[in-house]
Amino acid sequence: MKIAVCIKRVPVMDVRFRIAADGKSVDETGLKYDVNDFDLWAVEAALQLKEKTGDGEVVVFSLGPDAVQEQIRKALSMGADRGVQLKADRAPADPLSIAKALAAELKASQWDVVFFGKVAIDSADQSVGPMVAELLGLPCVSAISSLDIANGRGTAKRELESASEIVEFPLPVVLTVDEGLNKERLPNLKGIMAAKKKPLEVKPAQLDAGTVNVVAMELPAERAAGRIIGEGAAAVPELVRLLQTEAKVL
Amino acid sequence: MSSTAAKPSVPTAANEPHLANPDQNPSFTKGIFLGELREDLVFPFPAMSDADRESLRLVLDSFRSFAADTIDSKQIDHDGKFPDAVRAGMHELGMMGMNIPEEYGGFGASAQVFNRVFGEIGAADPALAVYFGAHQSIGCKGITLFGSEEQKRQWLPGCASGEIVAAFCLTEPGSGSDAQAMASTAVPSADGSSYALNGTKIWISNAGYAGVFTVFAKVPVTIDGKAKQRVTAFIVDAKSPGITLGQPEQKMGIKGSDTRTVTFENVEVPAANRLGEVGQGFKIALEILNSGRLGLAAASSRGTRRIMQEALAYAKQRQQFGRPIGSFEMIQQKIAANAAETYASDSAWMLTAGMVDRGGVDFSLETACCKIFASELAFRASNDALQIAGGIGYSKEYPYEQAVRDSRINLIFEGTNEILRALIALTALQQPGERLKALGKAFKDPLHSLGAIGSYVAGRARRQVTKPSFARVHAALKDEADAVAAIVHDLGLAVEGLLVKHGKAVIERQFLQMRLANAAIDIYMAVAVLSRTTWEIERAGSVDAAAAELDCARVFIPAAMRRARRAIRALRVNQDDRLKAIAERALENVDLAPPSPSDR
Repeated sequence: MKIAVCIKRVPVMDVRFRIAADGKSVDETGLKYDVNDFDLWAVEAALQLKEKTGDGEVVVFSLGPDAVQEQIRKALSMGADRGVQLKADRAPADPLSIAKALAAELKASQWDVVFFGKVAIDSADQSVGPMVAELLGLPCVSAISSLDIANGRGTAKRELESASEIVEFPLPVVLTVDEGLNKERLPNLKGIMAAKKKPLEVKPAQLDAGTVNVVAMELPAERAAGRIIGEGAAAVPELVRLLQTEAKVL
Repeated sequence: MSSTAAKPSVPTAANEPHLANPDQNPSFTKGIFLGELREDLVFPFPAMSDADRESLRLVLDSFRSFAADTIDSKQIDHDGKFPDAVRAGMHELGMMGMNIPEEYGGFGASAQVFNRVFGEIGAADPALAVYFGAHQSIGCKGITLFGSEEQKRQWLPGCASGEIVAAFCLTEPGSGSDAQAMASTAVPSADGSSYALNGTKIWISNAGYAGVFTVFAKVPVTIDGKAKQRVTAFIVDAKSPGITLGQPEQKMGIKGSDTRTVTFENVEVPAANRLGEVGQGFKIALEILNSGRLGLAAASSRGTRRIMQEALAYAKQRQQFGRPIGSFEMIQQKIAANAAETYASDSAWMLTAGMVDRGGVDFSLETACCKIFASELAFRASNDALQIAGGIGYSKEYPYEQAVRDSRINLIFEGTNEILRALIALTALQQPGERLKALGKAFKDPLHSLGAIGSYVAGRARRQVTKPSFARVHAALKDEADAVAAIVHDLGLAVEGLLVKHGKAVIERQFLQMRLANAAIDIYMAVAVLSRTTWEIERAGSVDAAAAELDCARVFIPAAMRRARRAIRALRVNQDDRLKAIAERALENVDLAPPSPSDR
């Protein structure tokens, strides 16, 4: 089983973001980075699939500057076999540019499964995985929350708004992974050590200029401060009145 | 197309365990007792390599995720033991092999990485840090440092996986700080193939889990026709017949850690399990503890940060008189004082870890300085955090009281802070003492020793005139650096004066030893702060960008130098005779102070 996983380096979300001076990107000072959560579940899915079939190779791809090697090595320390960095000064805003660069690289080998996370938690496009499938001419199942692969075919579950559906598909396939498919393993010390010795290839990303650009970025409006109406039972009638007339929630 | 496939790792100097080797290697702290500043030993500040930084980040990420899911420190404290999942998780993560060399199945972490992780574990649960530290900081460290190739191959892979938990057996009922009083014996069999081990060891962390013990016992030897006993180290398989464990001790804190008495009764230890040579036990024990202590320093520093984090969050949220209590200056004083000292403590353990990794440096006194300073800081800070929290600080529902109990042990184990202070003072007095002794001999035979006397007198004159100074400290810290250099100069002269006055009797004068050690600790902390802050300014690119670090340095160093100056002055001007009289009266009466007027 030959398995590719495409991962993205994203900022860790527990900070207050600021917008950079150009008005259309995030100020990166002081940010910490990690592998996109959904991509970690994709890596885990790939590793489980390899372990279940007993042989094969899990190859991790990431597009971006040299800093992404850190995220590739995290995937290697979880157990992936080798990594490929598609080197670019930065990941472009146009998902199609990224998809074309990944597809150009992936096309050079035969893959049984190509995994993506469902969405990158920073840019939230949800489109690179399906676009790569299109460019490779492969079927795509997005947002899977369970997976079973045997005898060259697969079954997956997808969570819908208020239902779930079971889909079947042939291999090779492109899958994008939703929350709930698995819980990613923690890299242990042996894995971290082994990762240092695993191959990590660096190739230039074949990026075109792209046609979609971010022109402005703004933070959500500050929420208005709360208001204290009074204390105890005496304040209840006024509270109810305001909830009805002003907040209009009752 | 290029490839950056990492090359197969060769053990680097950074990953090899280094000894302090006090007899051979230069020591910064010994130097200051001679009035010398070995700046080359403390500059530049040892920044972590990028590779170390990346592995550290991965290890910390994994440990934090594991801790968030699995470790409930309050529950562990309540139950007095770890749930199975906690130990199993530590083993699965590979934590038990953190500082065991790679070729024996471990991670081969540098001292910088190892101690940083030690700190993180201590912040998650201090008892778990004891489990982790008793195992590899001291438990199997002897095998790593002194084991033969066969011994390493036999034991270390099991220790690295956690399958074999290690424990360190030094302390006995009658032998704590006084290791010479050891009563355990190991008597060789007639054919020399084994030793019969007898004795009782107490306060043994990890005893209940142990698969292997590092045990110290006296071996009878004959030297020049006289029967003598020589302390020797042994690797003892915990499955050997004749070993019995006591019940777990009920302790004040670190309750989750398993602490017991271990009794050895005619335990047959194969001669192949002797660690090092007969008589090397002391040196082995000291070397193990030399580096082991650093873990306690790192854990105490990190623990200080953690409990103060609770207090800071509380101080921001708790309102009194219509404002958060954090806005009151009596609270801010506690925050700022602990912040500056944590900055110093972090600087010092990291500088010292860098010495351990570098090799060729005697770090034995520095690790002692770090342990003393950090353990006292963590206990004081836990108490301050509890005070900031007020009434709720005293409640078992909040983490403060546990922090006070848990942090208390660090002032006691791996060498009490008292014995470590004596160690610092007496070890550091050796060199100046020898110089003076040589001089004393020279004066007995002055005609043949004019050279020695002349060079001593010239040296003393030079020391008085040419003061030591720093060349590598950033200009922004010039005043602080000058103050430290001036104190080092004063210390060198004071030590000389002290030795001339008291001679060998200084061994009995612990009032003096305490002051010497306290001065040395404050000087070393201040030097570490100078080294780190210089690095921080260079890293940040400007003095302004390192304002937070500079503020800590500029608060810590003058305060530390005021303490050091007072300690050095009190070597000459003191109330020691009176203090001694009071103490001896109290001991005689077993009553602390003169009877209260109400009891007359």
